[in-house]
Amino acid sequence: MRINKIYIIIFFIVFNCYEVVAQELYVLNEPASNVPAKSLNVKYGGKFVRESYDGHQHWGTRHMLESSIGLSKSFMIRPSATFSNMYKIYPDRQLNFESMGLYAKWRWLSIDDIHKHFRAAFFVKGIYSTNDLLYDELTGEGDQSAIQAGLIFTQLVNKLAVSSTLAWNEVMDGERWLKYAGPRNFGYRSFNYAFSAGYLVYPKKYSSYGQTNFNVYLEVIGSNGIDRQYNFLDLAPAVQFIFNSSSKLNLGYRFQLAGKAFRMAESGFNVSFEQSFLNVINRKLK
Amino acid sequence: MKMIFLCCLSMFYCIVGNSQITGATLQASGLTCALCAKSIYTNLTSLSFVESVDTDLNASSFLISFRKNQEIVPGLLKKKVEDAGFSVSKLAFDIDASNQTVNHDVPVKIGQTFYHVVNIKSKVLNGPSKWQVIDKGFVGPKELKKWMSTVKDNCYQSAEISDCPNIENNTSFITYHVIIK
Repeated sequence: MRINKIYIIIFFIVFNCYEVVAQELYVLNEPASNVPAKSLNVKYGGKFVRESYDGHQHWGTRHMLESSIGLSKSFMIRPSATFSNMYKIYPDRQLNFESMGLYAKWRWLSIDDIHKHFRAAFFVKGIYSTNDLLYDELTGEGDQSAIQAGLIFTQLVNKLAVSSTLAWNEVMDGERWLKYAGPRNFGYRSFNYAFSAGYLVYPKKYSSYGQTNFNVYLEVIGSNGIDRQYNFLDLAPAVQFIFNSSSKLNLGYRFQLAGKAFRMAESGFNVSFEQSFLNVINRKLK
Repeated sequence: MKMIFLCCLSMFYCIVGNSQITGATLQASGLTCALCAKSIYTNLTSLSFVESVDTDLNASSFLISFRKNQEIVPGLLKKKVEDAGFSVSKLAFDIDASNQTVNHDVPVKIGQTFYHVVNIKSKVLNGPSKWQVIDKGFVGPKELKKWMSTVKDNCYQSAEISDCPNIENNTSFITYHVIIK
């Protein structure tokens, strides 16, 4: 019931943003749009959470490196790797290689008009992770070895852009197939979803590519366990600076609004920096 | 035989122009952000026949200057916008004409490209005019619907050059439908 009330509040907030120029360069989720063909987008992302484990409190840190490559106007891939000190028992808090992943997105529908579009995309991501299963929360970020697939719908109408992401998550940890008769500690399957909105605060009117843009985002991110009961709903406000129409600096905070799940942390900070290299892949890709 | 006939017909009908393209205005759709516009700008400037591009970010509009004595290919302008992830909602060429006769359904050849003029009464053009491409992929969905119901030619409806009258049946030639403003 509480979750329903939160949905109503979020929709109210989003639809009040009707008159502002919306942006879909979301901080935590993907829009249905792709990076341009023959272009490269390199991103560093840092996630910082306060972990509490066995009476010890410490900062859990994850560093993520990824490069998005536009193979065509409608298809992109994104190899990624993460390094973290998460999933480590105190006092072993060394930063180590954690995971690698490959994300692919196919934009299969695009209806454009002036300052308006509707787009739909299908995505799939495979993640190999060195982590053991320790928590309920199943993500596509490198917490578990997993396969994630889903759909994204992004709509820009009358200066309002909203996007929703629906994803199915299957954990591919070896533990899943162990011949073990006892009770299972964690689930292997989840349904993850997100609803994102953003708008341009500055400038009110564009003057040049060199002008710094300032965007504000609000994302709602939720997850429901399928084979093991857990659920949570997070709210993630974020700010974004775009420099020279090619670099993005994102600062965000994410916290749990509702739900019940055994998680590493119910809140955390995100910092990321992205650089676009437009039209750099000159060789004709077949 | 059919080929010879068409070639003869085309020599009779096709008006090899006294017209030159001096520039173009391209409006893109599906975007609001400056970063998105920059990807279109970068793609357009990578074309060998494009000399420079000025952007009106608020209108998502690009003012293109072309290099002299270069073949201008409208299809490549469209492809570059689509590669950036967006669509063309308007492409209008700035044409400098001198004693250029134009008739409805008669193509004008500029460089190696045919501009199939529609919706116009026969007249002679002198000086600057704007020629807007109205083929699929060069106009927004509403405008395309409007032209689809107005221009009944098979050549326009199917976008197949083999359906176009008055043009050599040779795929190395490309035709675009234009209205003159």
